[in-house]
Amino acid sequence: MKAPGSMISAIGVGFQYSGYETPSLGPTELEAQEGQLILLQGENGSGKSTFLRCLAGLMPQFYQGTPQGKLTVDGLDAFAAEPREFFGRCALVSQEPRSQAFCPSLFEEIAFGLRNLGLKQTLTSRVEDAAEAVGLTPFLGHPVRKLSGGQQKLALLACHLALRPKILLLDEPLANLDEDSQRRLLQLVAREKSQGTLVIVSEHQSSPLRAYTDVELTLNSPTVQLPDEQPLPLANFPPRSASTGWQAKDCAWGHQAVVLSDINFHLPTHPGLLITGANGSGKSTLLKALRGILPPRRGHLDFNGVPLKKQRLSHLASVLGYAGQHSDQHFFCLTVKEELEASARLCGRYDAAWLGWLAHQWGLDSLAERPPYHLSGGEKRRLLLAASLAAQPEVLLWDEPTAGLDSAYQNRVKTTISHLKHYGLSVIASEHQGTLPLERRIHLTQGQVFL
Amino acid sequence: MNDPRARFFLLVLYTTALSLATSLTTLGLLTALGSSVWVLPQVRTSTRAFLKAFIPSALVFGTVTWAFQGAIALDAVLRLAGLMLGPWAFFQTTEPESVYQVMLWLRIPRSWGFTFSVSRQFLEILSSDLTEIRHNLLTRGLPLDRPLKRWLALPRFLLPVLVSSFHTAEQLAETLETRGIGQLPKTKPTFRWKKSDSLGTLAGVLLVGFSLWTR
Repeated sequence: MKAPGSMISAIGVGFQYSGYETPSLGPTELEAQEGQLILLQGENGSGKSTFLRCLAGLMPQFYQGTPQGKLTVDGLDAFAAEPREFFGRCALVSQEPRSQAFCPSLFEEIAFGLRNLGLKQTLTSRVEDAAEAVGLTPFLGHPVRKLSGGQQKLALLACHLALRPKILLLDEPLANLDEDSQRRLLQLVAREKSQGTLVIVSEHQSSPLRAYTDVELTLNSPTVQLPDEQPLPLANFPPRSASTGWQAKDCAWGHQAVVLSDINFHLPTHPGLLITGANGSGKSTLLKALRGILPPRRGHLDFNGVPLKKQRLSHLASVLGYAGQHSDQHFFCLTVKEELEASARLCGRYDAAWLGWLAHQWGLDSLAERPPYHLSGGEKRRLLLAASLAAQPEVLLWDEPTAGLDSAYQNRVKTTISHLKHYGLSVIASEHQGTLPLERRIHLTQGQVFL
Repeated sequence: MNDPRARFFLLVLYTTALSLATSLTTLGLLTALGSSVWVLPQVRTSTRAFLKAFIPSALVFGTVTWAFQGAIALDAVLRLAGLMLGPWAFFQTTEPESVYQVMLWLRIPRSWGFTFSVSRQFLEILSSDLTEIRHNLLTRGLPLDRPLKRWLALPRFLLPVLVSSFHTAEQLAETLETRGIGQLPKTKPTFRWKKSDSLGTLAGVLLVGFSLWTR
């Protein structure tokens, strides 16, 4: 029996995944009632996502491992009940929206859960309401996978909101969202809360959510500690060529459709650049284009006076470092240590002092022997940022480098950018908040570049 | 044609006609008829993907059968073109949801039908992941763009592909579970058969008749 209004009772809840040596979630206590907003905080790897999965009834039936303690969610024993018993009660919106969409259109995506609830008469209106709530009504006919990263997050949120769950679990909902989308999401959270929904949010950027928060729960992990800044190593950096940068002539870029069109610019490699813009404005597209992995659909893009499409992408790794949004898709080694060293070895730039400094700077020392794919989202991000630096490239192209990082490591990104200037490295990065210490900035809006 | 069942009938009848055809002229006519699906915009937009799959297959089949006789090679390539065109046009013009409905109508178990329709989406995700992974590994310096070294780098390319496939499958399974996959309602599919559907099916029957007549 649950107390009136009580939705969640967690007593000493912990979880250790099968095959892992240490628990991913330490003993955690929580009492939560309907209409509350619980803010989950903690460093990368402290177990926030694991706790949300426990609350969604996915442990240990779905993700195998050993649970600890007692967890009751809306009267159900979360470690004993079947995941399907949580459908309609609990909605979990995970960190990665990309692989959660499987229907041909946003309409069908939202309708999927509603059909499973057995709705027919009100289905269309519920779908339209949910799409309107997240501001995606014009995209109802589009496949979710073809929306921008931020729009995908909102689309998946709409799928769960349409089900009108009693408990809404949001895993880092603000990451990768522009200001407008963040504002919209905050309004939605406030609306859900006022309607009696228990909302539990795991978030690094806690400040915008604090205004609505009833309980703050900080998860601690004894294995997670921010390492001190070490002095820069005396790395043997290669001499820099006289780079002329990029020259774009009447370029248009995009995957399925043109996102950036009629683009003309001369972009020197130094002194770095911060790219800002709303979700879907083409920030990632521009970074991919500059790295050469997205050739222009029209026009010409030269790098150092040579058409980029004629240059070998693997050869350019020693000049242009790149860290895209999906960290997982950059790893190809069995341990963190190998991963960090791989680019340096491939480019013939192995420097033990530099790699040691990178491992320390990004808190990877203690993770050296772990498989990259077993790391938490934030740890993967740190590894990718470090790996992009390993080959001592001249320019770094970082797509949302701070997304998914806790505040301590967000600051570390900023201090690292300052350090890199000593070595003549420049950073070209995209970021919604625009807080990175880069002198030059451009703003993208509706497929145009404003310098 | 409005009803997905009619499109499915036409696909079955066209494939039957193609299989029954024995003369090169009939095969040529049927393939030319099949190529007319390119008037449909949904098919036209995926021409490049079709050719990417068709050209290597045709080269392999054509070369192997050429060893026997030129006419056999032409026969094999025409048959291959027709057999690829039919399902291609069907899946390009029929939404996964409609395919699922047709499968239910054919009394195929609900879970099989759903798995099939979701798998189609999964293949698209996997295909885009492959491209993304290749690009990302190139940016890390893995020589996947060098003629000989790419073969040596292949095992390293396969690791993230494998992990990504498992991860995507896991994520997909998680989201299906949290969005109620186990509770699919047992509703009957609804279709609307129109005059154009009857005409399309009749055309398919005529094609089979034509194929038999020219044997």
